[in-house]
Amino acid sequence: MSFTKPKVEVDIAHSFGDLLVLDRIRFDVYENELLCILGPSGSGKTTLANIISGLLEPTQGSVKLGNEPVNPRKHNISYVFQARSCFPWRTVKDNIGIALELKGISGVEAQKRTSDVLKIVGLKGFEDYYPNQISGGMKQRVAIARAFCVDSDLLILDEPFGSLDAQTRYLMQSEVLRVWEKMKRTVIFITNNIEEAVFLADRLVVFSNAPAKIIREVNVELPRPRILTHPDFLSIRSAVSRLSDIARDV
Amino acid sequence: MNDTSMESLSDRAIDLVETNSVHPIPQESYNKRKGFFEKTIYRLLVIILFIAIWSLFARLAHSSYIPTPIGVAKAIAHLAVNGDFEGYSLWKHAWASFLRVVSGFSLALIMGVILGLFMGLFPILYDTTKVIIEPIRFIPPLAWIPVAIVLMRGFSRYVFIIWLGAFFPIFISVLASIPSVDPILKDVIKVYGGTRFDIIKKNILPSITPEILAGAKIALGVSWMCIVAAEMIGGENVGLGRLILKYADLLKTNEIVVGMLLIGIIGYLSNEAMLMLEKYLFRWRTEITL
Repeated sequence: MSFTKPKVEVDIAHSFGDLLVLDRIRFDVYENELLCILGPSGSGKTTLANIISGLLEPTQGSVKLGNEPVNPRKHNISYVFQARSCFPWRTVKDNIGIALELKGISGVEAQKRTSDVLKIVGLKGFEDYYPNQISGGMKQRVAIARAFCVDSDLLILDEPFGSLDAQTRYLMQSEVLRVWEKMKRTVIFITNNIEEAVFLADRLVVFSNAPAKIIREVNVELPRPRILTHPDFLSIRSAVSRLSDIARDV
Repeated sequence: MNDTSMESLSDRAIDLVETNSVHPIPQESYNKRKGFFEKTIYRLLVIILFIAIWSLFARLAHSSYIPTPIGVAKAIAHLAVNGDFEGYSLWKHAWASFLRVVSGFSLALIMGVILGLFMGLFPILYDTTKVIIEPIRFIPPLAWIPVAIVLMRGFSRYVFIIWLGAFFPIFISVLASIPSVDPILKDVIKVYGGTRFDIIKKNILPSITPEILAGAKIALGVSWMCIVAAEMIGGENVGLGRLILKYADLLKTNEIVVGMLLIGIIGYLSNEAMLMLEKYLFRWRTEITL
């Protein structure tokens, strides 16, 4: 990576009462980079995501976004949650639109952004459907569309494809890449799936079990589109896999 | 998979999702399947059956005071044209009662939602004030009538009694529904820059609207019960409760039934209005069918 100033500086530790969950986490994210956080389930990744997005105050340290402490009211942060986050009483169009409403974007501009982003995630034609009429994968695509329709400084995705079937998962990974390449953003993608992490990331941060520490940062310097069966891919994948095994024993 | 073009990938995604989709458009429920014409016929049949049974019962009973379908029909015609024996028309009675109910109910709705929200969001408020609120809730509104007669005049008496009846079902519904609001949606609003006011407006209120409406339906029923009793004791000359009492003094049961019928019709229509409102507001809910 170039020697530019990082966009996001994370330097925190976090405990819930007496329970230490995150043990001195220190890493940076650079502009327009796709960073993956890879860690086993229960290692506190969601807690980390909540802290980075500004939803949760860390018990120690801080997260800086462009030199200021991160603040969802001041910065433009997009977040795709692990669980379904669609408003049941809003249509697909309005579920995406709520992000625009909260940022004060309305009228023709809002409509244009909504329809652009709907087309990109492939939900054109579903504008007036309610969440109870669409599948789980589509609900996550709504959340992704919502994340991309605002000009965010930082986009966080917390295991967004965890509960989807394998085929939909593959498709969605490529979709996210496609949207990211088209609309450049700084992205933090959290996952527990090694293949997914190596497929998506510019850079990978491997986490240990709780209390979570960073085991290693890995640069994935493979050209895109990445081929899952290519020997370079496989060698990086097995290297990361070995790191994860260490992570599990730490 | 990695060398397909960008456009076709999305098409494939749609194909896949459509074949795997677990949630097709919800099946039309019974209510929509049966035709309107059919339903009206069934309902008319039920009414006719009811009138037939009523006639039979009236014939078998040995009292000359039993209201009969024909007697009631005659009374309707008479009252509709001439009004009651004091000259007040049916419409005046119905309108008076209706106005009192609407006023008391609306006030109860607004206050019930606002106070319910506050107490639900700040449990410590409810915890400390419930010593006063809960005992009041259990006192029947009608027990307040003597107080209302002494402290208030005319219209406000009735609004007060109705308010007492309508406020608590709504208040309790709102209070009980706040804990079941989905917390993840609050996080969505927060992370995209929303204020606490945004959370109330865009998450909590839409989320609890079904419960508010449920409480409102109960509150409306209670309101009508209160108004009739209140009018019987209250002291004004108009109102459906008063109408019933006037003719009760004269033992004219057919006219009494007319009063009851009016109350029933207004109640039925308000309920239907609520049901239509529900259906429109809650298209997003999944219907459970067994």
